[in-house]
Amino acid sequence: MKYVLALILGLIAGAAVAIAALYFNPLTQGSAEPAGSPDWSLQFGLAPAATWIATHDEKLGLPAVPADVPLLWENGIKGSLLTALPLHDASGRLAAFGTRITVPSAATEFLHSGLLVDDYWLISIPGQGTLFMHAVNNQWPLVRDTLVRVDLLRRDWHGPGSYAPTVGPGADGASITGLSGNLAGRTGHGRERSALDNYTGSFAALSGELNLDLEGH
Amino acid sequence: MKRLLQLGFILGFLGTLAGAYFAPWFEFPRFRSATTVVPNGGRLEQFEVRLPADRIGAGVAVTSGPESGSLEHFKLRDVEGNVIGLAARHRLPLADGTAATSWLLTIPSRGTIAFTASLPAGESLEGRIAATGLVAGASSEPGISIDLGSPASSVAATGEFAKIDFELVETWMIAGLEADGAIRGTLRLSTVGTADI
Repeated sequence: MKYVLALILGLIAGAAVAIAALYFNPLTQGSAEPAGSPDWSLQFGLAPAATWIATHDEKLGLPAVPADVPLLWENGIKGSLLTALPLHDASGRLAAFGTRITVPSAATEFLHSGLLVDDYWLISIPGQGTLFMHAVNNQWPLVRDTLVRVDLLRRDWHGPGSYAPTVGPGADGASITGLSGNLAGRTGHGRERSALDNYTGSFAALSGELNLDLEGH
Repeated sequence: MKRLLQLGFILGFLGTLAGAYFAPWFEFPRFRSATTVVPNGGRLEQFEVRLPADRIGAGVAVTSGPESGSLEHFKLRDVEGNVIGLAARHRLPLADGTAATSWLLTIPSRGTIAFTASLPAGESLEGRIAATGLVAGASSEPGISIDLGSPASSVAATGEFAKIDFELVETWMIAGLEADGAIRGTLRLSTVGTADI
């Protein structure tokens, strides 16, 4: 019996050390900073007053907007997040509007990639045209600071937190393709920054900034 | 006993790391694709949106200076009725007087396609419905079928849709209008994909 106990104790201790190593793993922590002066810098928020539509499968700590919006509970889309957002320039003026569909990535692993999501954006810029952007974002630093540290480990929120989640799909970050108008046929790259001022079980205080660069612009 | 403790530690450590690396953390169910080969080449796959049940939120009209646009969002079904993805539709007036309709179709287990089409100035779904004489709160028997504009072309795609050129035709099969003017019926999105070789 004591041999079995020794083996189990060893297993638990080994798993605990591995989990701690994964928690502090520097390989899954960050990404490059956004470019210095992008063509467009578009800002958005996830507070109910700052979004037109936000829906998911209710497991995410984010209020559904509007309150009676259909939730994404079906098996084929469960785990996805759809948001429709006004996008503002630095002066706070409405500069564009966007739809973001976020899908957890099958490429997620916690040794050197992190918690990856695919973000698919449709961004319409009045007077210019519409862009499609595909970003691969590592949300592990945000999840670690909130769901793991605050909700699971019951520790205090140590924010405000600042994150640069975009890690792909290319080395330059998100890929952008122009669909219509003056932007048709143009390509480029983008990165996202996000900030969370406060966390009390909800991501409603999360704000973000999309930095978009088009080649030849 | 010390050896067993050490063995357990190593197994626990390596097993947890292996789980963190190899575990399939996120997998979406992959429904069977109901596709048919079309006579002049390509592969036809149809998706459906049942209205109003599959509409996500109300449409959003955006006004920014002299320009305005709109956004609509839907759940996307295969022809067997399974919800398999999400769709967004943006409409944006352009400087040349036309309007662009852009579609984003995301099927989590398969990938994403972004489409765009151009509509002549003044042509809109609302205008086409009004031309039929259908008014809010009324039903149409038989239903009204509207193909909107020229086919949309894919501009970007990911996942299993990458390297395939698609065309999309949106067909609104309208059984009636709700009291608030919302469409009751089915939106059929017909895609024809041709391998980009």
